[in-house]
Amino acid sequence: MNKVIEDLRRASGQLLQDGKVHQVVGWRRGRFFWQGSPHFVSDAGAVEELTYPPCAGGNLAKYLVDFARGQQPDDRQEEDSRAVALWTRGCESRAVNRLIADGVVQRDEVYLLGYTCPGVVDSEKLVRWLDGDGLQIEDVNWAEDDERVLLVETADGQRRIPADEVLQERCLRCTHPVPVDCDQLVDGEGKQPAPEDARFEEVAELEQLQGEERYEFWSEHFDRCIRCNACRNVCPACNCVECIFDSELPQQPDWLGKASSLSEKSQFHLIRMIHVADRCIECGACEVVCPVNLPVRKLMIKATADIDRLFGPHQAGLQADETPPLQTYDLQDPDVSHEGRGN
Amino acid sequence: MAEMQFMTHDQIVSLLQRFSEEGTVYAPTIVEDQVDFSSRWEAGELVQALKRGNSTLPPKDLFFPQTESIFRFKSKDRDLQIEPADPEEQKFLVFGVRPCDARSINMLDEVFGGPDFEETYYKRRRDNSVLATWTCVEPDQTCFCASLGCGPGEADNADIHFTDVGEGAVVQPKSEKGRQLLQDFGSFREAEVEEVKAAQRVVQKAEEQISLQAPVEGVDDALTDRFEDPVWGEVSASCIGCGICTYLCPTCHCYDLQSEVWGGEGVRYRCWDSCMFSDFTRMAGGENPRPTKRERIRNRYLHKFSYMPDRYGFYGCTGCGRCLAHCPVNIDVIEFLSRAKGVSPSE
Repeated sequence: MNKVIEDLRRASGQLLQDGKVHQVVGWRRGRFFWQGSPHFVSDAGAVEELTYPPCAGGNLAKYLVDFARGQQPDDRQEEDSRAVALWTRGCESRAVNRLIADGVVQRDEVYLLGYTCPGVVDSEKLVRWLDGDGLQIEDVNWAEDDERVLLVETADGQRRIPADEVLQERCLRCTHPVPVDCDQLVDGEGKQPAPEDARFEEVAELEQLQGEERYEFWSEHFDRCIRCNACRNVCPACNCVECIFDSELPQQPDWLGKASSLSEKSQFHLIRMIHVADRCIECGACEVVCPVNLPVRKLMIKATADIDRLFGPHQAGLQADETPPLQTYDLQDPDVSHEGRGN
Repeated sequence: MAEMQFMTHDQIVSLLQRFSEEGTVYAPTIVEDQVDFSSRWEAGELVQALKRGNSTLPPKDLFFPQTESIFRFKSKDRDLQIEPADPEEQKFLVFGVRPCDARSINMLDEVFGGPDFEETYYKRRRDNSVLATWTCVEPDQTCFCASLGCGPGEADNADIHFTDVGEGAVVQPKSEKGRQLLQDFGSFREAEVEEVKAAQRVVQKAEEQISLQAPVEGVDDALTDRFEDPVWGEVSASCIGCGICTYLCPTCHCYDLQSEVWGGEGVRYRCWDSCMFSDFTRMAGGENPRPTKRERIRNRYLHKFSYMPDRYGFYGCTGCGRCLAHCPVNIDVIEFLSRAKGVSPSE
């Protein structure tokens, strides 16, 4: 991965130097080993600040929404290029396709600096992996000699861990570690794509539950929600100019109250699920950012699985000119209201 | 020292159980692999939960609930009836509060119970509650309380303080409420000199474990006239505008007033709000004086490190480290403080 990082830096510096972009969006290390921060560089001399930390959280494509809507702090001058370069993994490329399809982002205003994703490390898995040895983790880095190995620094010396053993669940089931679209691809070994039938594995057990049991399962989880909106804010499919949950202008109805009650919290999650169901690119960032460990990704997987079964195979964001299944009407669409409910 | 007592873990549990017969006990409970203050705490898991790090959410919700009804109203033919929703009168005990969180309640006392205005609902909850603190035996890597005049074993405003020494805890009542608690719910032996010394060693060891420092001294002066500083753009670039930092913060206390209406009747309630949200300061006509994340982060940091010291004489931060640990894009308050003071960020 270290060579990939060097290549990405070099390419980033070149783009800035040539004035093809005015900013590069990538990553930097956080203060602690389990952190990785999105990072913005507009000076070619500062590309060394960019890296790919093993625990590189959410989905960088979401910042393109902020750039497009003047929400991103920006020192761009009139004569500078409007374009932004984005360090792009598979999930980010799919998110960009969705943003283009939704009319939020123009393809020529983003330069996709692609690389094969090595996966994102689940720091809790890492801790559990080493806990048997009672070791405290001080730092984690990609090994120089093997792209699929992590070097973990502990008080008791260095340990080598195969990355695939400690990747986040979302990454283990990722079908597209390689960007589906990019302007330049930096070669690397990266993570192997998961087979497509692995996508819905995690909800198989939930689907066996009876309606009431499922209701109880989700109610218990929704009740713990603190309504911080992190899942919505990190989600590239959540790109409405005016979100229904923020609608407080006098001319608009108060769709959902701000109260922290089970009914409002359940409605928040269910409305959001339905609204993004056919545009979810399965990046799982919603679950990664949740501060109280709600299994929000499972909710999305279930919606995606149902759409896939009802309307035929579908994976959002594979092309920029796609029309998501819930935004089209076809006479051949199954009529579940007559045939009985979908599962 | 004469007041120092000793309780075994079993005695602590039975004290809490006896209190539960008259009121509610909120204690650290492991839920979905996280620590939470809950009334459904388990006697058998209490010690285990206490050994974990601090709770994900601070106990502020018990005094300043995320949602609470203020009054109900009914209108018919121009006749309006308003009925105040009475705050609960029930006694409760919050057990296992870390000293940093106790300090935050001290700050909220200033905000909601200050000399000029006393907020009834908050005040009644505070009066009806007992605050039982617990020495932070194993501080997290993200803790920097020492920089904010706090410490793992100091809780000036606690009613009663416990320090775990292995088989049990050295207990120090610190207020009349704390003394009353011991009188009403148990008779325990005085702590031995050795046990008191052991407790001091536990505190000392915990203090030594806190290596993270925040360069907070004088930052209120450093922030004067920095409203248009480039630092706000730099620290806010990665912000996604969620409410994690404010909702997990033990001292953030902004709220909104909302109504729920069904036909001619409804309820007016108060609920937490966050200055990170896009609609936080949006006016009825759509105008917003804080239109982007730059202005929102600026507000949060200035509130804590400039406005609060100006108004109350203390920083609105206890060094609990929750924002540092849970921000999904790792916006780092210590790095901000370093930049604001123009020093290189400390490790």
